[in-house]
Amino acid sequence: MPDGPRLRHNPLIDQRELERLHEQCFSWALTCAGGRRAEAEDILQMSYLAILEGEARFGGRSSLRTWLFAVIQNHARSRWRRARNSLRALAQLAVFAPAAETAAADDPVPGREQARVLAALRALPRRQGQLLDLVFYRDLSIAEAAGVLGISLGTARMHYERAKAAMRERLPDLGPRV
Amino acid sequence: MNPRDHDHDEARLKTALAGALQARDRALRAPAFHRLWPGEDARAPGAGWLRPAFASAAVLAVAAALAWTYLGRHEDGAARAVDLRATTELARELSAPGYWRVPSDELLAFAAPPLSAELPVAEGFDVSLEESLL
Repeated sequence: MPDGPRLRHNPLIDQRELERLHEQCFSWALTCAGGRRAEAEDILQMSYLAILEGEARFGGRSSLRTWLFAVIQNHARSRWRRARNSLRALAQLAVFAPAAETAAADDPVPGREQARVLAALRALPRRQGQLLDLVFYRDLSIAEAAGVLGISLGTARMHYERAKAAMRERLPDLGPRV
Repeated sequence: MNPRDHDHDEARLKTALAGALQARDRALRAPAFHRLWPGEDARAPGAGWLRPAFASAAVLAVAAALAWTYLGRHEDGAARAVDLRATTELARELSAPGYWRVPSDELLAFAAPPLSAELPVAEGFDVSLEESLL
């Protein structure tokens, strides 16, 4: 770990280490924000603020990377809940009929195949998609991914298997060869 | 499905997913850390001297402008320094009994630089040029 300046309210965190992990954090924030860039930036900035002010404290019990992912995930979830409650309140007032997904993703993925895979990933329930992202893309174990998402290992295993089955259904050409 | 097929299937899914997410991350590059980090000390390394340098340069520019405006304006007057030798000679001639012989053009040529400050005028303080030079 680089020996850089430590954060006043989070003395176990080295700011240079945070900078080193920044791109991975943004990528995870993008996943949590459903591919919407502005939302991902907002989530990541709120997470950084919580870390800087000590609202989220790193105790060194896990790796810094998984802890950061968990902080980002918590902010994304609370943001999503706030948005959902606002939409419900508006719906009750019969002002606005909320859609399932409020905005489209920003990512102009160049390849058609990749766009298809991403679309299939987004069509999964949020938690399942996040689990696959953490395990397949970020090489976390299922236990670590469960820690990031704040769920039990058993629940994580169940979601993991369901997510893989759903992806095979949506992308049959990636499924098992008979 | 036997375990080998299962592993192969999972590897293909993993490759496809990782490829798609990598393409997404390439398309949506992360903004600079310093743009999102809310800390005061999170400016770009090496750029910390920029703000004090700009502030110092601005202060120097303002000081130079003030000096040029208020001091440079009197540069002509300062350049026209009084020739002490000629003035002393003129004073000596004027104080001699033949003071009336001093050519008037010499008197006219002697012009003191204009004063930048207003002097108090005492009423009844009427002194001739000769008296003032004595």
